[in-house]
Amino acid sequence: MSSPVLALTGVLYKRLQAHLYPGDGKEAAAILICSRAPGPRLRLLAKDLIVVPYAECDVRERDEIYWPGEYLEKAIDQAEQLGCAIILVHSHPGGLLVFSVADDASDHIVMPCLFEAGGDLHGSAIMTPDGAIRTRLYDRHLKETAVELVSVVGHNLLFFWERDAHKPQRAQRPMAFASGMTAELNRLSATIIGVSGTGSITAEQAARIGFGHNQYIEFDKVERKNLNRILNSTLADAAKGTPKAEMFANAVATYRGPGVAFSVPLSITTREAVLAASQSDVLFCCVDTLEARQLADLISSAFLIPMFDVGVAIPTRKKPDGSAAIAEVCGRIDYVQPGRSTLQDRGVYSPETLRAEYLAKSSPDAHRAEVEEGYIKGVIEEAPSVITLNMRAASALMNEFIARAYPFRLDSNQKYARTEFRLASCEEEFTAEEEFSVAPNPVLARGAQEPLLGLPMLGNRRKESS
Amino acid sequence: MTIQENAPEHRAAGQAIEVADENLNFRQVLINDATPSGTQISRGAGFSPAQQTAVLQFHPDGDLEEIRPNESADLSIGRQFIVVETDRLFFLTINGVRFDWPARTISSEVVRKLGKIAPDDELLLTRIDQPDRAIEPHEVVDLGHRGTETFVSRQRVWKLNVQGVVLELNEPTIVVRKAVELAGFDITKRWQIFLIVKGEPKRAVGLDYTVDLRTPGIEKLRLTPDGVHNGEAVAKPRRQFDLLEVDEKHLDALGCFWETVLDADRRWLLIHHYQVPAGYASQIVLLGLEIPPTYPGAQIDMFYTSPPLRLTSGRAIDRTQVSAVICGTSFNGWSRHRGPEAPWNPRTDNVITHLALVESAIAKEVGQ
Repeated sequence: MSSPVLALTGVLYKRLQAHLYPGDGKEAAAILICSRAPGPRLRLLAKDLIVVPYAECDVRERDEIYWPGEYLEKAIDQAEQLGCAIILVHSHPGGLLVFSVADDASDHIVMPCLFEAGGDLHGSAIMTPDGAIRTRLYDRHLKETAVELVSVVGHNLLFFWERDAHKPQRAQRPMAFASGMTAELNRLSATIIGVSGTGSITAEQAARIGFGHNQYIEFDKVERKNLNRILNSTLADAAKGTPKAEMFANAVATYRGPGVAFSVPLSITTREAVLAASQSDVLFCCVDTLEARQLADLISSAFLIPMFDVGVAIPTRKKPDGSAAIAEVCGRIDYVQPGRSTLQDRGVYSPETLRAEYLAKSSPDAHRAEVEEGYIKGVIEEAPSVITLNMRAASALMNEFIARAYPFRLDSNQKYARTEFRLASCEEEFTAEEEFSVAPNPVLARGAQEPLLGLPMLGNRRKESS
Repeated sequence: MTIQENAPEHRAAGQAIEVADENLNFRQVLINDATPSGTQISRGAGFSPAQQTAVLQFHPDGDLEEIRPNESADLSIGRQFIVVETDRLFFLTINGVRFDWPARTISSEVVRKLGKIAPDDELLLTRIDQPDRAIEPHEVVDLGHRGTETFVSRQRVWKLNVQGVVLELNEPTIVVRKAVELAGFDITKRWQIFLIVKGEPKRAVGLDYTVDLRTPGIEKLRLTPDGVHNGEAVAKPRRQFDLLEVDEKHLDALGCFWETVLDADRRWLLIHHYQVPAGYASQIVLLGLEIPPTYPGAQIDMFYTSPPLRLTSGRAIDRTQVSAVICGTSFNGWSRHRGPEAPWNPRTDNVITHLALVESAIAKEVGQ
């Protein structure tokens, strides 16, 4: 059980905090039902929250709580269907982020009962008034393991570290662009999906600002035509056709040293790549297909990972004399937090456009026929982007991450779910999270449940092929 | 001689006409008159004045008109005549056109010639209160009964029984592959195929063998699987990609034979022996649904059938012109799309809900 992580959505964290701190200064209790991301890293994903009503507690004091066991049964019923872990949470209104003797004694009575009901992993957690959470897990032999990181993916990104639990400043975020930020980033793992035009620039920034673990998922190989826009690519890479992911990891090793950058030279639509992505703390999506964006969107939801998505386009128009002219130079940055609006909710892709993109690739004739029939609307070709635009967009993307993890904006981050800039009209527009509608998301905290992401193509094959 | 003297203007050059007997065997006859009378034609044909003859002139439209003994024939209308010894005319109609016929009997060949009936079409004699009777080659029909004999022709239908499915074909030959496909059997399966001819031992034939349905005694094509596999899985379906678990359970529960196949870059769910309602030429088809890789995130749309579904009413089915070749077999696609009011929902839509759309689209065309 190496360095476990507990991830919560901002939505669920807010509900938990509101329940544990109703304002009366007394302890309160709740239960988290957690699914698991695929290994090897143990990432528990809070899927559901059961709150214990204040009125039903036999004892509720400033330093003591006694609540009815029927809520344990409710948790067991929910957890056993998908083999989930149960984590009992209560508040310490006094601000002590340490498990007390009473907490230890209680766990030693309750945990064996939970294991009797099922599962191989359960735990308990405490929250202090500053919002900090500390969690520990038990195995069947009641061997205790501390959760190294509790991450909360909301409008802001919160990271509560076991090693900082004793520090009074534990709930405060380090200052942006300063050494505290670099120090924390060194403990975090970033996955960059797509290492081409915008991806290589994003990856360069991620490596330089100090992510401790950088992973590049990209199936393509370096070609000569890429050299004008992919950072770190060389003539030698183009001549050899080095996979872009590998090229980039090698380049990062020259300035960050070994053990920091890792290549996954596969398409994000493969099971292996999805499993690799599931291990990370932050996702940067720098791809050029709707299919890949859909995958990134689902990975974010299923494994409760914050996702930063970037897209650029240079639409053109025809002048009266028939020549082409720039219509606009656009960039779009979306911050997606699991539990709120997804890229699909925001209309970046849809079941129709995904099918159309598949058809255009797999059967251009059939696609053309459907376009002519008027069923598929003409798809806007993304213009070949250029490095100046890519850098502007990738920089905005990484600044969006910094703003979420190390808040520096004067206003609430909530107002900036989407940023769009237009260089021709010199406009920048922001869309608040509330402006997007949110459809029910069955993939949320789906974890390792098969098929991965709910897509049969990513599942362990049930039927053998012949 | 009297005629020649009285009508010197008619003595011009000899006029060539053709004269036939009741079997329509024509021969050339020269007549020294541009407007010969019935009697002149009869004489020219070699009949004596004592013989009672009927003279009939062919009109360009095929009609026959009697020329009476002292009536003049207009050679500009036509130069073909029938001259037969008889004292009366008999009446018949061929495909609704009336003919006066100078003999009591007529052969099927003559009826075909008169009615310009294609050699492959069937000739029938309609009868009251009885089924129409097919007139065989060389058969002679007696026209001496009361009433007018009515002949009709129709496109010949050749029947071939393929494993119990009777095909009605308008061509006298068919390739085995096509016959098996038309009967709704999956030719990608390995079959042993036998041609059964009455009184002959069964003959194994390949998919490319051409069956000549004019051969007497052809009864049927019989199919046997190329091997008998006992056990629950009779044939091993191809499962080259997975569907959702609920889809697979549903398809299994329907008891249908289904496969998932990859063909080039396209991904297909094939449902064999898919039953369609009455009103279609074939009742059993192979149904294909295209499943994009990120299904159910990406939607399923349209559907494909092989053979193409045709309505027995002959009416064309709207928007079914898209074609696709799946693993070498031709399919045609039905452009049936979800409207904006009922878009695909990845949470609730799947193969099962799409099959419901397929079913209703197919039923709609036959008014069900």
